[in-house]
Amino acid sequence: MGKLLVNVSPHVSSKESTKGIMKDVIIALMPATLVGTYLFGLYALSMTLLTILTCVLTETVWNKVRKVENTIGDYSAIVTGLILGLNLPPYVPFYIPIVGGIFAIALVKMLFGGLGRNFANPAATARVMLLLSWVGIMTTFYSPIEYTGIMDFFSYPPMTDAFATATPLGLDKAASATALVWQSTAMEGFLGNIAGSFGETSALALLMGGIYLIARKVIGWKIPVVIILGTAAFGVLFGNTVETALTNVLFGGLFIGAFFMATDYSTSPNTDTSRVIYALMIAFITVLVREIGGYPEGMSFAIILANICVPLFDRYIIPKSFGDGRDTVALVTNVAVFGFIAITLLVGFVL
Amino acid sequence: MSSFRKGVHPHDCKEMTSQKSIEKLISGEAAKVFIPISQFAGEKSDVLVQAGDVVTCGQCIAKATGKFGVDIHASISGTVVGVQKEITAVGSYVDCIVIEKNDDSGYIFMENIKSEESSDVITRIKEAGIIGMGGASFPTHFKLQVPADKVVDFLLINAAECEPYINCDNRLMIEQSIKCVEGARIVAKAVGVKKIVIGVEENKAEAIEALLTVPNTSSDIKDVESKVIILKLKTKYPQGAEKILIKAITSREVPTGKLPADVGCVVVNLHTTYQVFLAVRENRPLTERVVTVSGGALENPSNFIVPIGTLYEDLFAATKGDMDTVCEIISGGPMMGFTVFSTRIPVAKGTSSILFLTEKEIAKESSSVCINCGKCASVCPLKLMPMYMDSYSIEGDFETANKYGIMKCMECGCCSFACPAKRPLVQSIRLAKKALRKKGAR
Repeated sequence: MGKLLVNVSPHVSSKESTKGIMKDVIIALMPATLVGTYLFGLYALSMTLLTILTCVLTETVWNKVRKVENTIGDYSAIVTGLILGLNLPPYVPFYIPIVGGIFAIALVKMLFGGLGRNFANPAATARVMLLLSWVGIMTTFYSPIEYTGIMDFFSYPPMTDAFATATPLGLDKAASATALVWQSTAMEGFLGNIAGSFGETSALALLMGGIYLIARKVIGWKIPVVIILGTAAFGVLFGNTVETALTNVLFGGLFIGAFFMATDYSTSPNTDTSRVIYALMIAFITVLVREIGGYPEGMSFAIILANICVPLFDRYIIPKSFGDGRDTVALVTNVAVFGFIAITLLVGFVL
Repeated sequence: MSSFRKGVHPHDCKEMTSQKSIEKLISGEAAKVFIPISQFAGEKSDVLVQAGDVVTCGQCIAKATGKFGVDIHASISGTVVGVQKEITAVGSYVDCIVIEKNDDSGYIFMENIKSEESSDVITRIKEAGIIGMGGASFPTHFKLQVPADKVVDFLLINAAECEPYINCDNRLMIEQSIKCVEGARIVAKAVGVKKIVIGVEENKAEAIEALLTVPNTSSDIKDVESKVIILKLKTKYPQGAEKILIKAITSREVPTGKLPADVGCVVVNLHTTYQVFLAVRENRPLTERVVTVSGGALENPSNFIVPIGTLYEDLFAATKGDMDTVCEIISGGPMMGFTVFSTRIPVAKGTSSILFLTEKEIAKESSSVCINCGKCASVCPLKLMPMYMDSYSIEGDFETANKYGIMKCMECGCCSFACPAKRPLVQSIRLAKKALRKKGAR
């Protein structure tokens, strides 16, 4: 007789694993990475690879120092590095990815207990830290390469500031509220042919990745949908124009934030009801910062602020279980949030 | 199609035995039977025989005591060796009547039933030794006595068989469809209800077809007043959990702490209704049951009809298993069954299947930290939050775990199944429940 296992039920389990989920996220980010690489060239890609390398090394060193098993095998450090890399302007100096990667992994993730314990999204927090510390570097964006030959891919960035430009959101901010400047058409913003961070210019590429994650059931649809539609709705409310609404949705870090950062497991709520409120909160703060605050970009701020409210949601909004009657809190929340979005958008776009 | 919200889709693995007809275990292989005198629920029965007595199959060998107990019958003809303690599937010792087979092929039938009125049928069910055969082993006669203050209008026959691997109910429906449906009618009459719904998961298409060939059946719920409804349910685990099945079929939700009768339902397992038919119309007590013996370690997985008390090792030998490849032996299904550490365990009235699974089928992975993904909560059919119950249980803070409704958990295993970090959630939940029960929580 061989060795018999005596075990608590269930005796079978799904094929899903932490590693598999992280792999799916990496796959989902590939379209955005490829578009970014095409638009901004080899240097921009190498900065993202440097971010990933820094994240993985930081986690390894941290585990070595603490004399615990190395956890890089779950691929979560790679995901953090990749998302942070996609969040950076394309032509940052080499120390930016290094500082950002160390900050994200060591201070935001590992210090609080590693995977599943971080208090806020590591990539979003690192981006905000970098933004506050190196305002100039982190707000200098470049137009995509205008290819004249294959060598352009390798030769960018050109060593002058002549190519520096503002992002559509930056221009929007600089211009007066009545004279909105559309530097690009909405379609270009959707495809990604605009100035911006390495991986967040193409809403289409990010949307493809997002749909992949939803189809694979890695993330639910509620958080991204409420963030995107909610941002449009608040855009209508704050800007009074359909253009503001569209600008807020298509440009800047909205899609990468909605699909990849706000949905981070450890820092998003665990129940559907809380998720809806959390997502609406992100949409609100994003538009608030963009339209009224001092920065052109508000997504990272919004995500961090909503992240730190998650323990409150999880503590106070406990869904009614089977046999305890109708969950009125869930019903009212869903009707209120989706009703608000639908009515605002309807009024804004149709009337 | 009727179903419930949430739940999981484990690979059903039914193909290994779904086409195998129910076979009689070849005599001689079961040279001895060990009949437990108390099943999972119910009081011990009074033993009527002693060592050296010669008994005939069907003979009553232990009489019921208490309101939950049922009679017990000799499952083979032979000589009583004695009463001895044996380990059962749940891991505890239980007194078993041991009978050594002889070559007498006789059978002692019960007397003809006086009438098919409620009280006579319920007495017959108790005297025929019938208890819930789906696994929980709740005494059927007790379940059918609905308190006078409760109005019941639905009899639901649980033929969902949502656990992977198991095919005993499936084969019974295919091979004995008339007896299954008639049994349901007898039970309905005893309970005093008109509406009968047999719920079958859609992966048992052949069984659904077979049941529909029985006269006066229908697949349309609108005919529920006049016909027996064969309702197709979505293949999803745990479709066959009692409260879940009620919700899926009638949309009624059993309130926390209440019983099915409080929402007008009585739920009976399909094998049990078949057994009721045999007891009432053929005067046969419960002496044998259908058991699916399956798993990757077996050369010839089968559905056997076996005498109660047959040892697992006899079934294992009959299916030509290779013990070197067995990783876990499971009594019941892989989602809620018990692992046993020996094959010297007798088949009880509630043993629907015995699985001999290989390492590959178990695919045991070590657990890692909770990544807070919320998958467990998103699959919990009772809408609980297993991740918090798990972490508070591990911290030893059982009171807080109780605030999250841990006592409501039915341990179906969906959370552990779905967990990408492979955390043994059910294990820590059980730990907390046990501690809380000691303190008087319910």
